[in-house]
Amino acid sequence: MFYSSKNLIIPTTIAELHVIIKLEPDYMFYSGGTFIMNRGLYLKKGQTIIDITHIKELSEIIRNIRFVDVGCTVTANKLLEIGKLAFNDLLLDTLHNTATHIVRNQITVGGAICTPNIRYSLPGTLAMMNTVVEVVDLTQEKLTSKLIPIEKLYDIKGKLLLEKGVLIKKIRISLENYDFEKYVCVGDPIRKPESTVIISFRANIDQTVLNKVNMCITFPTCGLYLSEAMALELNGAQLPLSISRTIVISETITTNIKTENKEISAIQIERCKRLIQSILFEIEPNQESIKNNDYL
Amino acid sequence: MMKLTFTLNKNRLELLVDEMKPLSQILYEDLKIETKERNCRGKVCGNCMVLVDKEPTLGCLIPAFKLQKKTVTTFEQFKQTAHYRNIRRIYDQLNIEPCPNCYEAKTLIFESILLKAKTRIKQGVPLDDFSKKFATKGKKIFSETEITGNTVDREFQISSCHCMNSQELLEIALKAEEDRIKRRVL
Repeated sequence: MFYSSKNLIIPTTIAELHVIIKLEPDYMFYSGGTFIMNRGLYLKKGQTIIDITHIKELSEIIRNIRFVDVGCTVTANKLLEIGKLAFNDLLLDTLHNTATHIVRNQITVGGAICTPNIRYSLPGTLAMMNTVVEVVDLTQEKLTSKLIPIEKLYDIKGKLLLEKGVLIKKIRISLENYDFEKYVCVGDPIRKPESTVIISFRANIDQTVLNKVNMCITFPTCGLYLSEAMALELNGAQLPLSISRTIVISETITTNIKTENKEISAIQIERCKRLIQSILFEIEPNQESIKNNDYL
Repeated sequence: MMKLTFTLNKNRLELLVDEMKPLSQILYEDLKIETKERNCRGKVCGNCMVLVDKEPTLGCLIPAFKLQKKTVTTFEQFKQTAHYRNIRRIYDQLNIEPCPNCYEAKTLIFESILLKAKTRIKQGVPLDDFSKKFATKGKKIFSETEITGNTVDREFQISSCHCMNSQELLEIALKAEEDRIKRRVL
């Protein structure tokens, strides 16, 4: 551990970080800095900055047959570079559409998940992919970590539920591939978050039947919606879907969302409805699986 | 306050600054270097762009403590390089160039796109052992660095000035890449 100055501490292990947190009552974690610098949070006087980018355990990437463990200080560009070899196209698309190359050099995975009041595209896609995060409570005497599904980190309005002193250590991303994957973002999440809608969708198609449908709708200022209504409605559905059915499904989902959260603007609801319809129109029967099962 | 040691335009400097002071403010307040945006507080407008260790970066998003022992190049210094002359040549050839308000930012964004294109050429080398283990079987490698209309549009989202259209931006990027390969500027 070395102190660069009175207000800046740079620990090199989690054990050191544990000690620092006991000594410093008012602190702020710094990893990529895009949110802190963007919102002017650095202007708060007297607050200690703890730079966690030098902790080796938090910057590791470990791969298994079924999942990849990504440390919280891994940058979006690094994840994209390594992910080219392992991840599905949906996650690559999401990372690719997160800001620009220049800003992605600084955005970290942990930071993208832990922004207090605003949700960008990455948490939505990760939540839909059944990603779990490993969190460590640094305020306890003994360091213990536990795995939590990513959607449990937020309340219904998208506010972060993590308490101060709890650190995201790793993110466990599964390596499942689906037949149909789609990521759509309409609007500018950084400059106009109140009118932006982001949808991540994936499903398996077995001949002409839809299976394992997952969808997550993200409203940057109003939270994430993992649509179970849609999964129930579409699992086992025959393709191609009729126009009337897609309209009914999109209407049901948007009405549910509207009743759950009244802060969502009319433009977001309208965009959401049209996006769901356009995604459902795009799903086609799996020609390859039909060919493979011809003999049946 | 901390003692910051870094290299600015080939000059080694030592300054006493606040740890969290953004680079864009250090350049303007402590070093009196004029940039288009002085105190945007991270609006991500793209006007405070500089090269940190040859990598285009937004000055408003980099705090002082992250600059320790780094090399910072402002647009004034970048103008003297072969990379700038390559981009300038294409502006002249096509008779299109960004407006004076965003000239520096857009030129540095072109540089960032062209640097990525350089890594694309390097991608021809075979995968090392770690990458072979990491790769999923049968997975096609996603060519992220290719210069396409989409890539150029996405990269230029950072600049809030709309003085050039997508077609012009793409044309400049492609011509500049071609020119760099031809003249071996890469």
